[in-house]
Amino acid sequence: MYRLVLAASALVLLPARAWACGGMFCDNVNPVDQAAERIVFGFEPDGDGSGMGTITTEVQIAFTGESDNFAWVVPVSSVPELFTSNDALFTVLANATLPIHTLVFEEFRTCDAGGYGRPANAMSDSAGSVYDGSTSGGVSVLASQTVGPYDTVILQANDSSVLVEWLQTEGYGIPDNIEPAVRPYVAAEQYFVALKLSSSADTGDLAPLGMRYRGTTASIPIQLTAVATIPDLPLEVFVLGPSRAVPDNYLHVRLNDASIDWYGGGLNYRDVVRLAADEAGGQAFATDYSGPASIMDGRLWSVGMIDLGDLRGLESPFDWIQTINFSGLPASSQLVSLIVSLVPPPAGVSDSDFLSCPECYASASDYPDFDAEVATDALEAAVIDPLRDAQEMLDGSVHLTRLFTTMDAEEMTADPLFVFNEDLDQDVNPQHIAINEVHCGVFEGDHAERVLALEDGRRISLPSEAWLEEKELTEFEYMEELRTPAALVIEDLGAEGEGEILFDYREQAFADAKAFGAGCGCSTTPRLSQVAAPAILLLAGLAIRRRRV
Amino acid sequence: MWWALALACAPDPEPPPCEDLAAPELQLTPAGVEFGAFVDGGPLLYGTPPQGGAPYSPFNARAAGLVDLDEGAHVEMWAVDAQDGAELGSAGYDLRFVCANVGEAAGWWVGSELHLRFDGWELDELEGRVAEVVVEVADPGGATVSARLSGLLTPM
Repeated sequence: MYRLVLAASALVLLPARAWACGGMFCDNVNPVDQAAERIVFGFEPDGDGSGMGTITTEVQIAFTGESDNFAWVVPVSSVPELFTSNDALFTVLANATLPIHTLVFEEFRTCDAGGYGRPANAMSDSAGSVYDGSTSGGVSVLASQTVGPYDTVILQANDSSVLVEWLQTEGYGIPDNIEPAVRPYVAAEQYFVALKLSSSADTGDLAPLGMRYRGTTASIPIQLTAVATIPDLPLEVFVLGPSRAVPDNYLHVRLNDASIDWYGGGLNYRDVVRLAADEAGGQAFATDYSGPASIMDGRLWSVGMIDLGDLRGLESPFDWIQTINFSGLPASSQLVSLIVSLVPPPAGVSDSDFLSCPECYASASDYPDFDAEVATDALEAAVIDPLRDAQEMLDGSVHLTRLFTTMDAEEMTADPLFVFNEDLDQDVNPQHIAINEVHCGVFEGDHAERVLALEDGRRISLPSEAWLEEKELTEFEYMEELRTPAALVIEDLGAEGEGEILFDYREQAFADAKAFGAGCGCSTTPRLSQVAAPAILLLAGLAIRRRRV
Repeated sequence: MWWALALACAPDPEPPPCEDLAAPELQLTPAGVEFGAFVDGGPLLYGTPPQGGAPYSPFNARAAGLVDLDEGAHVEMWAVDAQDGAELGSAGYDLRFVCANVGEAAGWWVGSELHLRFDGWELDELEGRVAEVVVEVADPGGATVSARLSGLLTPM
């Protein structure tokens, strides 16, 4: 019998709460709820061997609080081109590369005296565990423009105090205590991109911001984030480029699969990464996915998704909405925001209710000024163009890497840099499988003992479900001593070679797994087979005696 | 009771090798250079961080003879011009180390790169200066080790 428990890691299960201030800062008088910081880097090398290229950075922005308090400031090495992006880029990327932990339940009903039967797809060849080894008061405003819902400026300053004062005077809600964090960037004559919401926009209009600039290396200015962040800020980084991306100045961790709560759907994945990064000193990333960028082919935009010509020719606003609803356009807050700005729902009706059935709440004649031509132009500019651009960036990339970590403010002492390494194994599969082998069992049901077989070959003996239930323990709790360390390997990777392994617990982990539960007398509840077998023998004996009588 | 059984069966944890080293020591090397391979007076690469900020030089350090660096450590680093004594840069922060248990680094406390920032200096002002770099690491109990090197500041 096969039973599948599929579970995504908590990455997409996080409530769509706001996060902000990524590589940036906000008014920390008003705490910012940062659920995660998601950043996409694209790198297009010049190809002349100089290492220079065009870096595209797209940052998803969300924010809770008053619009007046929103401010975002980020240093960049050269004057960037600014543009707005689309939430769908992050959602689709995240879903396509989501770490998934699947527990497969297998029952072995043919037990023999020689031991447990082995499934054809068992992950280890042996029964045991085998190790496998403009100038104003010192501030130069270089550009000022409105980008989507944002008023932006690109500036330089020769004094950090003056810069902070200038930003505050101009209505950027930043705290005074960011001055020390800004100082080194000012000293190096770096550029700053600052944005706030336009007076006509509110926090519901927030859109991801994109920056395209010249540079050599993708980096997150995390030191500025330290000014206003939450504990264990999750950082989800997508790097597009010629090969696998690795952290250059941070360490890299490979996780201990025994730390995953397989029986709880793997929902503790983020926690495991947090613990592993902490074990590595707090500055380390895990690789969630590494592989071809082609998994994103046509995911954001393709010509066949929607016929804009047809859309322009529609007369009814409801037909216009439904045509979009049934198109392949990926959902995004920008799409919803645009549609309801053009075809507003009646008072008291939520956006989602209205968009799923506009005719249920209003009549097309309620929108006499609706012009499909104008609306489609707006759709194209606000939604489709950013999707086209993002798809173009994906299509132009060979490889996609997704890295993840969590960081506390005190760990944000160096900006993580990401480099490309073509010497390492290029593929990291985000889908992980473990097998829960239930041994014997026709008469045992949930009293059968089990083995949890992990992908790396470790086989962990587990007591029966009934035994755990009696002890009021979960499998995860029972395996506590195997869950540490969370990082099985801590390594120092770079642009070339295999890197240097600094901490390796793999061999010991195999030994731990082998010893786990062995001889402990943990299976104190007699297996039903042990009870049933004598009973069956007794009955058989009686039957024989009767026949003889 | 099962806890007691489990504990009774758990193998005795081996002491971390990093706690065993008797002589307190800190080794320092520019990032990308193997420990022990750097010769004083050699090139000390510096540059601007990709995302901006003061010029910096990356280093790696590893410590021995200190305890509990996996729980916390304080690092102070500074550099002065060997010729005129001018202060070139400094950095100080808290971080945690990992006790390496394999390879050449086995038995040492190791961590991610240490970045020495040359606050207030222009890139071209640094070129050609000989920097005396000192790094000091303190464990949670206050015991410290330090190391120094000097190198010719050379743009990356």
